Amino acid sequence: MKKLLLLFCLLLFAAGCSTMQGYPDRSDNYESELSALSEYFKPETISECIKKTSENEKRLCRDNIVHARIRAIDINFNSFQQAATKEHIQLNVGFDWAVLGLGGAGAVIDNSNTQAILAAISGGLTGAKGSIDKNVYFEKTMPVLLAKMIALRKSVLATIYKGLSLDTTEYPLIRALNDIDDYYNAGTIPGAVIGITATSGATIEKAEKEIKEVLVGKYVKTEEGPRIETFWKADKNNEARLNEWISKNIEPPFPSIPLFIYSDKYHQERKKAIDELKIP
Amino acid sequence: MSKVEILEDVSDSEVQKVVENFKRAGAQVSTTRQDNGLWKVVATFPDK
Repeated sequence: MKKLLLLFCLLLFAAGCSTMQGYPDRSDNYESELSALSEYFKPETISECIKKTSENEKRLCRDNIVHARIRAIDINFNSFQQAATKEHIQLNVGFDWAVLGLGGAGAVIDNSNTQAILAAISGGLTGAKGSIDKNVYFEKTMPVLLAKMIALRKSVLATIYKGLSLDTTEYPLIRALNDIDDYYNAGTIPGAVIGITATSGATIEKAEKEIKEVLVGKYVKTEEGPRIETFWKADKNNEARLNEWISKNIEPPFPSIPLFIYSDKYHQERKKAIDELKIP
Repeated sequence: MSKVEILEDVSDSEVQKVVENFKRAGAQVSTTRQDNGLWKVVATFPDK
């Protein structure tokens, strides 16, 4: 993966693309909005964390460093995404690398819509070299690439969070930092192009299905929550009924019962469940 | 397929109960103190 990324960087330079801002800013740029997180990028912070002796301390500092870096990458990715959408990325010169990547993708992807878009863009870029149609690039290519970036980032994020549920002997800080690098790379244009070209048509749909699910919510204390919790714990049949109700009334991915009880995302659904399941 | 659920802004008084409930639902659970003093709970459900 890293060799492929390096190859893409070389291609960028070879094509004279040094002015194209195809990447979101790295999270270690210490820009002002990220200053609050800068502590977690210092080498000494990592060194101190590695030197911790108790598992609780090691785990706490590992988790804090990882969450801070994820946050920093997310801030930069969101800015990048907005800039890409608003066509603020500078495009000055050749697109040989894009033709390479997208042409390859068009040849191996079965999904007809995606294949057609990629092939058309690749052809368009080849024909229009020197007078690039920026509208075609942004309107057609960027959505495909951004969608791939988001899918890849989500998949890597699930791996990271799964790692954080383990202790530091099974998921040490250094391994987590490698995964953080993968998370950053997943949000880059070369990362997305590689992700697309590496996925054959036969496997792309399967890969999408296998993308791990990450559900995020904020804790809220409600009148309904304790009622549903009591109902859930009272009887195994109630648990099955609740899960069945969730699967029929909430868009996938389905939340677990605890997330359903606590998350700010399910206000209306909790009221409806109480009503329909006649929860006292 | 593994599933990860993240619950943010859990208070000190509630975090233990939240963790227990996620565990009851079959998840591996970790907690992290947020900058605002509240807790982030990460529940990972095993591959099905």
